[in-house]
Order: sequence, then structure tokens, then C-alpha cells
Amino acid sequence: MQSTRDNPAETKVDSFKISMQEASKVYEIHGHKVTAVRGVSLTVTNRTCTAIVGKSGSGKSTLLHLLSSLEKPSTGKVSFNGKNLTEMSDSEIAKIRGQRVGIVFQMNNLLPEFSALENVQMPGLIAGLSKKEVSDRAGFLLDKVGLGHRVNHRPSEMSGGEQQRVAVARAMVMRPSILFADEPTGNLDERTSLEVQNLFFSIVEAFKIGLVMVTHDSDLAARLPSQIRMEDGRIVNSDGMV
Amino acid sequence: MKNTSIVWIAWREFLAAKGHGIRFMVVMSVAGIALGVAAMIVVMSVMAGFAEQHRQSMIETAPHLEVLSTVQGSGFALAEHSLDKIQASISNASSYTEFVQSDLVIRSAKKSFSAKLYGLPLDKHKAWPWPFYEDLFGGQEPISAPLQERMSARKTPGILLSSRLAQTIVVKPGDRVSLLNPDFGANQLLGSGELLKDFVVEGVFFEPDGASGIDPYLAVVSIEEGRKFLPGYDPQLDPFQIVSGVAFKTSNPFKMSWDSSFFSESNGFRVETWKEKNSSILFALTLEKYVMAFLLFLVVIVAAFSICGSLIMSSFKKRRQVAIYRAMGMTQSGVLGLFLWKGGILGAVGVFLGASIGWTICLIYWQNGGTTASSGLDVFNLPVKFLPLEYLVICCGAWAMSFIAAVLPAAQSSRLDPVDGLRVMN
Repeated sequence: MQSTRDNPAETKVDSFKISMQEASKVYEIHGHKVTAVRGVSLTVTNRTCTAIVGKSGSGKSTLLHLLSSLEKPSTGKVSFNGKNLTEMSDSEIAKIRGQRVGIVFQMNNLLPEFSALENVQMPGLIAGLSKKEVSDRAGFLLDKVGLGHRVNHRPSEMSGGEQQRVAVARAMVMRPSILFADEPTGNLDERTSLEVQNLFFSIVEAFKIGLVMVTHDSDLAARLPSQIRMEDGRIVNSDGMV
Repeated sequence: MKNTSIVWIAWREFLAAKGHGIRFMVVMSVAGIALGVAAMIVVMSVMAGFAEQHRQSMIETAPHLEVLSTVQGSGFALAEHSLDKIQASISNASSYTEFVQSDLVIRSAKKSFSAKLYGLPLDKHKAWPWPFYEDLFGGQEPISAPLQERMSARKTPGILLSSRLAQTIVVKPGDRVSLLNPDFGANQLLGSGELLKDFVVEGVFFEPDGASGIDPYLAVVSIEEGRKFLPGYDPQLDPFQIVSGVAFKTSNPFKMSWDSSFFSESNGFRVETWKEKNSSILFALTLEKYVMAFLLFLVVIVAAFSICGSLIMSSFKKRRQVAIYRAMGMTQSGVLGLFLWKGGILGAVGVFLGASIGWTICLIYWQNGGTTASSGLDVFNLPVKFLPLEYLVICCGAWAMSFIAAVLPAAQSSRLDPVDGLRVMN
């Protein structure tokens, strides 16, 4: 994916570290306590590229939510550059979600009322960047993911693969340090899945950021330098992880 | 997050609102606000138009200011306080006339009826503040010298009747009528006061359109004849020129001033303005206008409930979307602001439509010129008065209501846990 533009979405070069110490997450569902993550300790940096694998219900997505600050742990500690998530204010957490991490979900993750360009602009607008700056960044990233010609199309007018490319561009617009992806190819056919996988790797390579990807796909997981295997909320094998 | 970004997102969501009946609810909410605002603007403008018409009629068809005796129903002597001196004490008097006034019974060959009798100087008829001479005999110069002579005839003087009174007692010009003084006292039996006197109907005048504060059953005679029907009349007092009062027209009825030391209680005077005389009706018109506005504001409140309902529905149906915003870094206060602005935009569109519709209807009425009391009720042709300040208050009030209506759904959405919303998605 070549671009004739300068790189207005160039990633921050400062280091970013997420540490989990004995973190657990317990949900209460219909009066029953369900433990999704049990005492997990883990460190992820802006140089980490890892896959989280495991069976359905093993706690992969919850672990990703904890790492990406979408959820707070029930017990234990998750800290971002040393700052405890549970002690952060709403605006501090929002800043991490909006500016330090990028998140790509499995499906239906775009805002249907907005065009591809507007979807990609959204995190920038939420962060308070100027319209011009976010437009430049969004345009560059859409070019980068090969959708420069579809900026005004709405998600409903795009294929599943194209939607995921827009989601990747959106996740990158605030120059995050780590990209989190929750089964990003789970709903795609084999060919499209491969295209999206390649996109992820080229983006991570180009922007020199960390990648944490939840996946069922063992071939995809194998393409990443390390894997975390989860079972029943615990990490049973972390290959190459800190 | 910048406010402009929040407003932009809210605006785009408003334009794209659809699914799960949300568009229907949005249309209903906007229509409700628009209806309420339009109704308030039209009703307030029309009521102000009617009030203005009444006020104009009061100003045109009655004195702007009357100098009366401090004793109710009594009079004062012009011999003591000359007309010129009285006139000089009113700052912007444009015309004036002395008058006598009494309530009595008028009797024709067929019927008797109560009437208000005015005694006025016939030679000063152009200075009369009441339009009693207008339309007399089809609008010709009415009070000609021969008519003045006939009205001042010693044996059977002339009298002018309002058309309503003439119709009621079934008389026409040339017929005879008798005036009966119900206040005729025993002490006047020995004097020359009039208990019963015959008059010839010399003319019939039409009451002015929509004239308020004027009794429609009117009779006008010369001031000399009218004086004879004053309570306690004594012909020996004629040189003192007793009058009930002096009526003034002024160059500006809204800014009148007078020498209050001259018109003091010690001099036996009191001043009554047209506003004081019509205070009840003026108050009633104003009160009616604002009560109507308040009642119509209920339409806006109902529409605000509709906004609240549609936003609650939207906040429930769009949990996924809110979760995505939160995952992209939107704060709780950002979500709160977004939903408040969604309500605000619904309100703003409704207010804009309502104000446009209301203004257009008022403009049509204004171009039609407005109906008058004599032309009967015509709902397509009503008087209007444009009230920019009131319109601004209506629009701001309705807009504020739409923000208030959004508080509950906004608070609800801002509390949404992003992961809960994402579970809906997945």
C-alpha cells in the first residue's frame, strides 16, 4: 500500500507499557458470579506483538478489554505507564482509550450514520483535534488501507473486508502506541481474512507499534511472534512474553 | 472534546435517525415542538393584535384624558376655573371640550330604554373627543348651523341618538322622544329642573367600530339642555356654567402629563386617563394573552416528553454506538453533552419550523389587514401585532425545554459501561 502523501498519522515514539498484576474480572450474571479472568499478570508494551488464543469463554476478550482500559479489574491491578487504572479519572481513561490504544472489534464496529472518512475522523474529533488535522490524518490512513476512493461511502455500502480496513484506519488515526484487535478476521472469508491480516502486519510494521490480537485462527496466531494461551481465565502458556 | 464536534455528531445522528421507530418518534417530537411554537406565536400575535385594536379604538373614540370633579357624579363650575386655564395645565392637549353627562330613561311612542346623555357644545363639535357626529346622515357635515339651531330650539330641542338606541326604541329622524330624569329630586320640584322633556330626533350616528368603554345607548343634546338633567340642577346656577368635566385629546396618549398641583383635591379636580378608565379591560386583555401563552406552552411540554421518549428509545437502541464512542475515547460528560445536544437539535429544528410557520401565518394575517368588530369573525383575517421579544422568549423557552427533556436519557447513556454496549454489538 503505497501513499503519495506525507505521513500525518506518524506514531508516537515514546514508550508505553501496560502492566497487569494478579488481575481478575468477575461478572455477576443473573445473581451468579462468573470469573472471566483469574489472577493474570502480564506486561504489554508498544513493542509487543502477540496473539491471545484459547477456546470460547476462556477469557480472551475480557483480557483484551482489561488491557485496553475498556474495563477495570475486579481485583488486582492494571496500570498504564505506572498509573493504576482503578485510580484514574474518567477523562484520564478516555485519553488512554482515545489516544494511546487503538481498538478493532470483530464486527459491526463502524458508526452506520457516518461515511468511511467520518468514521476514521471520529476519534480525532472526540480528542478535540482540528477538523483539518483529522481530515488529513483520515485521508492518509484511508489511502494507506486502500480505500482512498471510498471515503464518502457508508459502512452499509462496503464489504466486510472494507469495513474492517476502515476500522483499522480509525484505530490508527490517533497514532496509538498499541493496537488491540478482537478477532478482527472472525467474520471474513479466507481471502478477505488474509488481506486484513496483511493489512494489520503492514500497519504495525509501518508505524512501529505494538499489536495484541485475540483470535481463534491458529494460522493467524502463528504469524505473530508470541502467543498467550488462555484457559478458564488463566494464562496457561505465554510463549515469548515478558 | 470540542463542543462543535459534539454538535456535529449530534446533528449527523439527527439527520440519519432511523430504525426501531426512532425516525417516527423524531418526526413527532419535532412536529410537536413546531406546533407548540407556531401556535404560541400566532395566538400571542393575534391577541396582541386584538388588544392593539381595542387600544386604538379607545384612543380614537374616547377622550385621552378627562378632568372631573373629585366628587363622583358631581360637576364643577367653569366660572371658577376657566377652560383656558384648565387646558393650559395639560401639557400636550390637542383639542378639548367641556361636557355634561347623566344617566336617564328615554321614551318613544313605542318603547322606553335607559341611555347615557351627553350635553356638548354644538359649535365645538369638531373638538369633541367622541365621534358622535361622524356618520351622521351618511357621513355629510353633520352639525350644520341649521341643525345647531334646531337642537337649541327653546320649545322642542333636537337630540342625536346612537343607531343602537334608535333601533331599540324604534325611532327615526323627525320622531319625538321624551327624556325622563330618574334622579329628579323633591327639591327640584319647586325649581325649573327637568323631570320629563320632549326632544325631536335630529340625527342618528353610528357607534364607532369596536369602540370600548362607550355605552352604545347614547343620546346627545346641547350642553345647555344637558345641564338641565344634572342632579340638583338649578337654573340660577347657569351663569356658573356647571359641567361634568372637560375632555381632552392629546398629541401623544401614551405620554401625557399635567400640572398635578392645579388638578389637586383642594381645587376639587381629579384627572382620569383613558388607561385608568379602561384598566380592567386592558388588564384582562394582557392577562388573557399570557394565560393563553401558558396554556399553549403545555403543547411544548408534551412535545418535550416526546423528545424525552425518543431519546430514551435511542439511548437504549444505540447502546452499541455509545459504547463505540466510549471506546474511541469519549468521556462520560461527552456522552452527556452528545445526548443533550441531540435533544437540543430536535428542539432547534422544531423551534425553527414552528417560528417560520407562526411568522408566515402572522404575515398573511398582517397582509390581509385584520378584521374589525363590525365585519364579524373571520378566522382567516385577524388583526396581528408582531412581538419580536415575545417570539424570542417563546423560542428560547421551547428550546430550553428540549434540552431539559434530554437530561434523563443523556444521564442514562453517559452511565453506560462501554463493555456492556459492546456485548450488545457482539
